[in-house]
This record gives sequence, structure tokens and C-alpha cells, in this order.
Amino acid sequence: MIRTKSRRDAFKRLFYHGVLIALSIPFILPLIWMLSTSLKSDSQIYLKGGQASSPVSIKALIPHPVKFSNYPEAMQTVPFGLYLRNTLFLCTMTVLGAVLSSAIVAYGFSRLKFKGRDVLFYVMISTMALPGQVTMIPVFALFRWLGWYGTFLPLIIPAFCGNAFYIFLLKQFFATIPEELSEAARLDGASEWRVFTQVLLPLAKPALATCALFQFLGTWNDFFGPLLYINDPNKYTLAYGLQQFMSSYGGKWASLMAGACIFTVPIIILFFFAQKTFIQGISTTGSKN
Amino acid sequence: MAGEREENGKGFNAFLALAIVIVAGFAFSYLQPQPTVKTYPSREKVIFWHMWTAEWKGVIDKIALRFNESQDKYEVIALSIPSSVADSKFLLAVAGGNPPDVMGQWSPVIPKWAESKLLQPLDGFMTPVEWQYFQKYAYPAAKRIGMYKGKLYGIPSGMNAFACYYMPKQFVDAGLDPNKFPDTLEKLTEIGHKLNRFDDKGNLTRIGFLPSQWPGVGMYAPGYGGGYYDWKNDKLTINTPINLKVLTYLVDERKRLGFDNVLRFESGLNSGSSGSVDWPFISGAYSITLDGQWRVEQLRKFAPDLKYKTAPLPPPAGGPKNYGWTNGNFLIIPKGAKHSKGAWEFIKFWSGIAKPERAAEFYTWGGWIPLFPAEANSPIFKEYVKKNPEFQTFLNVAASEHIYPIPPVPYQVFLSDRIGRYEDLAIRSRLTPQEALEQLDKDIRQELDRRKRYHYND
Repeated sequence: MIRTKSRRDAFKRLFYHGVLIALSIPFILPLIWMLSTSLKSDSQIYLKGGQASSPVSIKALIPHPVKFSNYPEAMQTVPFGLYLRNTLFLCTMTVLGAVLSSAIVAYGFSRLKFKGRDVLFYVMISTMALPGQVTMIPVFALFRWLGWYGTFLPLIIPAFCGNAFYIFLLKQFFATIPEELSEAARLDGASEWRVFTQVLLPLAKPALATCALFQFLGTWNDFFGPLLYINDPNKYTLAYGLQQFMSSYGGKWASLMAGACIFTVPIIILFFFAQKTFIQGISTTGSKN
Repeated sequence: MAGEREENGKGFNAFLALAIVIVAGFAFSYLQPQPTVKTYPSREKVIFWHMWTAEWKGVIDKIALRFNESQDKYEVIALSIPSSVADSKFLLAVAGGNPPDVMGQWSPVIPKWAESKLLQPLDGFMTPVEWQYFQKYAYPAAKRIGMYKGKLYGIPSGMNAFACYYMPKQFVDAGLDPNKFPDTLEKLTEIGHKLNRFDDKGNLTRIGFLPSQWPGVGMYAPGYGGGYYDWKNDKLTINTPINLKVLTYLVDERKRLGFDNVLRFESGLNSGSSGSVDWPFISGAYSITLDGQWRVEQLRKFAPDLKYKTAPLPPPAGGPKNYGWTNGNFLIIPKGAKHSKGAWEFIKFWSGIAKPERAAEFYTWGGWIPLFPAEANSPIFKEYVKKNPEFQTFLNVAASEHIYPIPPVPYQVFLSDRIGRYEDLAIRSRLTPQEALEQLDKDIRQELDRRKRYHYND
């Protein structure tokens, strides 16, 4: 009886895995194509004579011979090291700014009682519905007036002004932490700042990590911000550099895909180590509270 | 409690991963060799934005390099901006007080930007001799592309001319003489019908000649003495008998093959837009097709063994030779440019106003039509034409009085969009040609009324 049940469970698991693997194929195929193309020579990619490409086959995805030289070539076409440094600098600053400022604001909305708190919270939440294009020109004019055009400041400072989504996410998380912990700290003479930094923040590490990861990804992939505010090639970021690379290698798919792989690798590494936090972050806003 | 520890552990892991990626990334970035680019720190930096990509970006970089080597006062820094956002970035940069010193454009922006006072008239930078030289020698189309209300706002850095590419072998197979390309549009249309091929089910397998949907009426109407603009009197001419005749011709030819049949056939072909090996003409999908001069250079590079010929689009019986539509790439200097003199020196260098013989070489690099006959007749360009004999066809077309760009009105983008929309609706048989022109005329009148209400200075 037990053996039958365990066999049934095994089949069930096999079935579920099979379905999930089948469903994952459409998502993973572009990545496999990117990797495969990055290791091919141009002659392996194009069919001759202007005809439409042949259907995708497993054989067509295997590069033969494998051409690793596309990678060093891709990295030497643009100042990759410089763009990577600029991107990481922006990522570090915006992660620090967004996480700290959002946590402070979220704490205020979650734990402090003041007049108009809920109204202010709804106003803040409503800013999430505003498309970036609507505010682009006024924000641009503001930064220009401040003399920040052409510097990194328009890309960093807004992160220090809080992010509506992170504030919402952190507020929801703070609401799950028992009020008694804060009360106990206050009874011991802790100030509000101390309650925030020494009681709530350590407990909110998973939510803070989620915000940090989202912000990192957002800055890493941001193309429009640097495009809008940066004019100096020494301040370009990787996302913008990738576009430059595409400009230079429009028809050379192998080098282009090698560049795309290099751009994607840090995100894959990050996701590999922090996938649970990513998933939890996505579910937090829906399941908590 | 254990669960809480686990939760906190996850957060710690994520922070740790983030820190590792950042630290490792920084370390890796310092290990990368920097591409060596020669710079000139003591010179005035002339920032040049352009939208060229792929093989052409290399050409632009080479021209900038040549300019930098040719003198010791300015350093041109060429930056490629994605064409999809180039206009927005330009407008914001001008508003931000930090525009580029010079910009390479191909979108129809001169009238609109000149009207909005975003551009500096280039005649202000020219000496009387340069101005006279430009007026006297530049090809008529080059002047039409760059001028607005009597002032010069853009100097073409390469014009485009269109002509027929055809496959001699397919002519021979159909019993036609490939050395006698039809001399009238009517004969071309008839030969096109003979060269069409279908399979047993009636599906198209080859198109003989199909008058191109784009640029449509603008391409063929000058052959009949018409078009959407009266260049002598500076006014739009939309719903005219000539335009109706041309649009009816385009619609009838599409109907003859069947709109769906053409669509099915063309959707099985590559777009050929990436500028490399995938142009369907190479595989013989078209016997005769109308395209730009840049294909000559591409065919030399990517299909050197292809046997093809070119010929100007033949005029309708009694019409002028070498007629049609043109567009071009041009260089502009925005208002607020910090190094406008350096920008002008660069424009002069590239366009050939300074030294046509020297600039001729740049046009051979890009496979572009030069601005002046002196460039086209220079030894270096003649050598290029000798290597690419089919290019001569396009030079002849470019020198003609009868090729016209899109009408120079400040609402060019709107006009271009509406022309495309209504010509397409007619070709799809959703509107008759007459209805399409009437609707187009009506839309333009409405736009003009709107602009009048808002006090635009048209």
C-alpha cells in the first residue's frame, strides 16, 4: 500500500516537473539562443542569399566550432571596465539611498501617529500610477536649474528621496512586527530613532534585501536615465554602453550576443544567490498583512 | 523563532550576494584594458551627436579622426545616440542649455526646429565666397534638404538617390534584352508583369516590378510634374489630378497582384533593413526593385558575385528623366552650442565646402552621394565609381533638378505620417484613391487650422 502511494507520489512529482520544465522552455530559449549565438562565428549564424532563417533546432543551437574570441572582442570594443565602474558606483549609491530613505519613511507611516498620515500615504502611493514620461520634463527642468545636468546627481539623488513601491513594501513588512517590541524598547528609554535602527531594521532584513535587490536591478538596467542626463562618454553606464556596442556591431550578432551575455552574468549570479529573497519580495506585498 | 532566524538569514544572504557582486565587479572593472583612443586634451572639444550605427558608425569615427588630425584647434568627439530617442535627447539638451555642438540628422526636423528657434542658420557662419560656392554648385536636392524660408539650416553630409536594381539573368530567361532597360514607366510596368512568377496555387514566387509603397506618390509624381508640394510657389498641393493619377497607378498595380498575395510573399522574406546580407533582391525575390545607392556598396561587400544592373526610374511617356524622391543626412548646429565655430569647421571639412577633393573620400567610405559635382568628379571618387560602376546611375539621378525631398513645412512629421497612412489605406483598398487624397487634404487643413488657433508661425 505504502509502496503504491510512494510510486504515485513519484509519478505526480515527475508529471509536475515535466509540465514546469515544458513551460520554462519558452522563457529559457532566448537565453540559450543568446549564449549559443555568442559562441558562433558569423558564418554559422547567417544563411546565405537573403532567405528567412531556418526553424530553430537543437543542432542549430550548438556552436561548431566554438568561438570564444567573441567575448574579449566585445569587451575591447567599448571601455567596458569604465562603464562597469560607473554602473556599480550608481548601483551602490542608489541602493544605499533607496533602502535608507524608504525605510525611514515606511517607519513613519507604519509606527508614528500623526494627523493626515493616511492621506499622505495614499498621496504617496498614487505617485506610483504616474508614468515617468509625465514627470520627465519638469524633473529635467528641475535638475537643470540645480546645475546637475551632465552629472551623476540626477541619477543618485532621487533614490535618497524614497521610492513609493519600497515604502509600501516596507510599511507592509513593519506592520507584521509586533508593536510590543517597540514598546518594550521605549520603556527601556530608547528614542524613536533607536527603536527604528536597533529594533525594527534588524528584523526587516529580508524586506530591506528585497528593496536593495530591486533597486540594484533597476539601476543596472537603467538606460533612459543615463541617456537623458549624461553626455560625457566617461560617465556612460553599461546599459548605455551596450547600446553603443549595438551601434557598432549592428550586423554582428555573435559579438553583440557576447556583449549581452557579459551584461547579464552579474544579474544571473545575483539571482542564483538571492533567488529566495527575490521571490519572497514579490510575494511580500501580496501575502503579508 | 527558528523561522525568524531563517528569514533574517535569507536577507543576510541577499545582502552578501549583492556585496560580492559589487566588490567583484569593481575588481573586474580595473582588470579590463581600456581601448586606446587618441585624445587632444588642449583643444576645444566639439561634441558631435549622430545616429549612425553598425558599419557606418565606423565611417563617422574615421571622418572625426581625419578632422582631428587635419588641424590643431578642435577635437571632434563623435557620439552615437539611438535614433529612437535622439530627438527627445536633443530637445532636452537644448532646453538644458547643454546641446551638442553639431548634430547629424536624417529625420525631417529642419523646418520644425528652425521655426522653434532651436537651430542656428549656417549662412551666418559662411563667408560670402562659401555661400556663393554652395548656392552655385551644390546639387539642387542638397539645397532643398537644408534650406528653410531662405536660410540654410542644414548641410547635407550625404544624400540618397533612388534607382532601379535589376537582375539581367531574369530578363534573359524571360526573353528580354537586359541591355535595353525600359525607357518609360509604362513599359517598365508591362515588363514587370512579364517577370512576375507564381506557383501552381497562384501564390507569388517572384515579383517582376511593383511600384514601391514607400515613398509612394512622392517618388512617381515628379515624373508627371506633380507631387505634394509646389516648390516654385512654396505651397502644399495634395488633392490634384496628377497625384490622383499616380496613387491610382500604385493602387492598381498592387490590386493586380493581390494585396494579400504580395503581403504573404513579402512576409516570407527578410526585411533587408539591417544593411547586410539579407536583402531579398540578392536571392532573386525581385527582378526589378527600386532602392537607394547604399545598396551598391553593400552588394560589393556582401554579394560580390551577384550579377545585377541599375537604371534610373524611367519617366512616364514625355516626363523628365532622373526624377523622384530624395532624402539625406545633414549636419545642424543647435542654438546654445558652445563651440559653434569648431562645429562649422567640422561641417565644412566633411561636406567639402572647404576642400571638395579631400571630402570626396569620405563619401566613398559611406557609399553616399556627395554634395557638389567637384566631389563627384574628383579622382578619388572617379576611382570609386570605376570599382562600383553602377553608382554612376545614382550620381546622375542626384544631379537632377527633378528630385525632391519631403515638403519643407514645420509639421513635416505630421504630414509624412498622414501621407503614409492614407496612401496605405488606398493600397489596402479601404479607401479609393480619390477618398484617400480628400481625407489627407482634410486632415492637413484641420492641422493648419489648429496651428493657426495656437498662433504657430507657419
